[in-house]
Amino acid sequence: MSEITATIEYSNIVRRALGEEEILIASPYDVSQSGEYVKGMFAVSRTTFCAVEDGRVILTEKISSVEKISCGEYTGGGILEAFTPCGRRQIVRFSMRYIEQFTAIAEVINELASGQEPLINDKTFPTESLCPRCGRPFIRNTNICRSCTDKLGIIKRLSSLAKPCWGLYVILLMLFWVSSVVTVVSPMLSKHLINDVLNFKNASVKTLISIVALMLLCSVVTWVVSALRDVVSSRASNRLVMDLRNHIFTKLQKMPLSYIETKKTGDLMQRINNDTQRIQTFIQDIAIMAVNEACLFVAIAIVTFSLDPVMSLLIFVPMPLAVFLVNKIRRSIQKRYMKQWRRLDKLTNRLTEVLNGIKVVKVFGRENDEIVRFKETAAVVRDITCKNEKYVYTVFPLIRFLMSFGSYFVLLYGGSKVLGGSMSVGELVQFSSYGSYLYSKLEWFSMLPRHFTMAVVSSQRVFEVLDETDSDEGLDSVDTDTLAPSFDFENVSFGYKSYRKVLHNISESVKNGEMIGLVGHSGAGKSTMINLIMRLYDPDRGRILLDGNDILDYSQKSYKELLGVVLQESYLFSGTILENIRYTAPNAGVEQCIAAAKKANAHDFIMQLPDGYNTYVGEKGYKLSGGERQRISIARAILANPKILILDEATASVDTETEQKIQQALLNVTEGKTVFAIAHRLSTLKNADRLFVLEDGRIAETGTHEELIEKNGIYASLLKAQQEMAVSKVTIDNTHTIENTEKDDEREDYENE
Amino acid sequence: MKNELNFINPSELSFRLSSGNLMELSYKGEDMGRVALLRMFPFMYEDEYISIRCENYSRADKEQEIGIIRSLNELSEEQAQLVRGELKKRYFVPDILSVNEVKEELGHISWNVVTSAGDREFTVTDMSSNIRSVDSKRVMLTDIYGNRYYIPDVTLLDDKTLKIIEIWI
Repeated sequence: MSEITATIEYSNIVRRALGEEEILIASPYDVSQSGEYVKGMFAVSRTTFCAVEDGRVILTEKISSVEKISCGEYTGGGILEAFTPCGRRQIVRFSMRYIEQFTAIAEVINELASGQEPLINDKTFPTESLCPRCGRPFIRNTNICRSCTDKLGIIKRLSSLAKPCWGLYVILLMLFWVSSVVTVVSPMLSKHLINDVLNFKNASVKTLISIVALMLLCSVVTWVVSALRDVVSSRASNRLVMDLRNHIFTKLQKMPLSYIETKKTGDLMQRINNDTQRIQTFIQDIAIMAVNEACLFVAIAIVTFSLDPVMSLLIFVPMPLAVFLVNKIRRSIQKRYMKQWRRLDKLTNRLTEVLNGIKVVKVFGRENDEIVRFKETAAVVRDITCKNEKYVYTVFPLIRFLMSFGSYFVLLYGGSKVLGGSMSVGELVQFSSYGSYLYSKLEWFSMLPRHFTMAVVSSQRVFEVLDETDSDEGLDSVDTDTLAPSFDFENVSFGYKSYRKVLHNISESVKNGEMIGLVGHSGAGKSTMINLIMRLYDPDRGRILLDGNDILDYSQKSYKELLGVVLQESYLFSGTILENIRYTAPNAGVEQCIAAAKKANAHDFIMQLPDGYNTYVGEKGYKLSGGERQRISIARAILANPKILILDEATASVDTETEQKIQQALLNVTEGKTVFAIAHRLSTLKNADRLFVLEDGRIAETGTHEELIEKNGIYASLLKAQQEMAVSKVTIDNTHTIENTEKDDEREDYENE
Repeated sequence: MKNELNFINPSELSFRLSSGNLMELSYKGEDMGRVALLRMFPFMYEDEYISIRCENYSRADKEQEIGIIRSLNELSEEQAQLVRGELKKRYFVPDILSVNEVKEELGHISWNVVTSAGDREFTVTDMSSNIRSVDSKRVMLTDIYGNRYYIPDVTLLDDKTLKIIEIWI
């Protein structure tokens, strides 16, 4: 039974089990209590939940009988557990495929159990999309079915991108026809040369010259057409690929961070560079050539069949068999090479790792062990490569033989006709030329499906990015100019994976102009809260209101204009200091930039650099210290003059002296703004209007520095621990200094003696 | 001492399965309630070095280890069976017994297999990360959802299966 059929069939049983009540939420599950795969369905109504397994109701229970439901994540699966007055109980088991759904189900049951109205939507209950054609799940977060992908549809879509340069493609098509005509005509000329000149006793020199001249003309036309074809096809395909790259890059810039973070940087770069490159190669070298060859194939077929149908059949009939055999051999070669490639990949990875960690290898004296390990892996690669090459060198001549197989039939049959006098030598040569030409292209044609599939995969990877919903969905209905930023957090919950919540039910208000310090242990949810405020992620449940409006109602652009951010690690782009300060306000004048740099305590160090504000920084430029980079990023924030300021560990990676300078600079920025700040050193948040102390993703304490110390709770203990650590550090430093001084004294005494 | 290995004296342990089918523990006469059992070396020692933890084990800051069972052989047969049952539940990693088909479509490798938990179809992407050789014989596969499948000994698979999976493992 397919998954879709099972779902439909079970829904009737489920409805009966729930007493015909409306199903609020339901999910399939796939593991039985004893750990076997099953087809199960779990459903919840307002009063009851039930489970159906292999067509049988195995559980029906009133929600009122449970106190709480929890969803536990184990290795390779999860378990839904119920807390009841009689103890805890396992309800259902499921594989990782359904963990998100069961996390949502647990929340819904808990909400119902506590008398709340459950929140169920696409966001809180991620439904697993199934392909309507085959019932298999779509590729995650896409609507792409790997089995039912319409390959032609993708190519059609790709062709639609070629519209802007259709004129070039028309020229290409015409060039193909010219090229096909020349290819068909050339063997005809050979036939005339043999029949009317070489084999004809009374042949005139004039006929010879005219035939040779025509042959020369064919060669010149072939050369000109092929050069023109390459130039035009290169221009057309480059244009298409440039458009594609621009589309993807534009799309990526608009995508939410959550999307970009779930993709590896290498994967995204591969889509922009390699996949588009592959598409270009396909269009320029394969697709265009395929059209050319297809035209030629038809033309030669027409000519040969009109000349001698039986001999034409001798050319065409063995072709499918030859292609079939060649493909079979090639597939086996591919499999062998894939294995070789995987082993080689392992070897390369090992090499990269050891070279990157060479210091560790040397420090621990592990050189010999690494040599042995490398030799072992290299030997495996050698063995597989030798085996593969032996195979390839044996079968490749076979392929070549198969490719020329048809021409032997033509020679045998045609030769007997020549001997019988029913065919001229010239005609045999003409046929043989057509046959050789077609068979020489067979290998190329047999590779076509592979090139086609590769291009489809690349196109699909590119279209997958282009088809993603970007984050700029705000209506921009709110006027941000007159906005006085106050925040209201309403039951905000969030997890980077929906089944691992990082923030739980955060409800707090922040007034306009207030400075909020976020403190807590690492992993408590401080940075996550900042990420939600910065709209890098959206809450799973609940809302964040800015000035009474949901922040999602603002367009990304207008919302981001309200924000200024200073992060722990300030990133400077390749360019001058001036360009980096101006990054947030490209139209700012130089004097504004200097004023911002002065406020950020950056002006003085900038002036000590050889090229002042024109000093080139970034990847290959002047190396600035962490504190200097930080002050440039503060200047950036000052210049943008944001209404909301986010300081995420702005002083964590600098020494005490620099920290003071940065603190001073920050005072200039924070004035009159709504500020959210995270700081590792709690003392730097003393001046905050209020502190939110986060614990396990919940706000555990709020108040001013003094109020929280008086409360003697989590904040007080955090502060105490930090002070104790600072004292012990000072003691260690002092001991170290004393020891060094003593050693220096000892050395001096020794030298004096 | 908190930082020392706390190997548990088996005579002080008593596991039981609650009426709700969950593992509970009495330790040194004290009822610890629901506990989690985790393998310290899941690929090396299936029945050794089992960490017994309070149920909130997954939160780093609440991590609390009651103690370590050095080997299940130290427990009575009945107790060892209970622990094995719980570990089987916590590590839902079916063994692949044979492979019917492996197909690659657009970079997604579909596996149709017979496992110790029944027949299964699953999809693997990113081969180099998700088809991992634990050693020369053992292979671990992870599907697109994070489910795991285990081949405990490649050499024991039937010839047909070996031929099918040869290039993938």
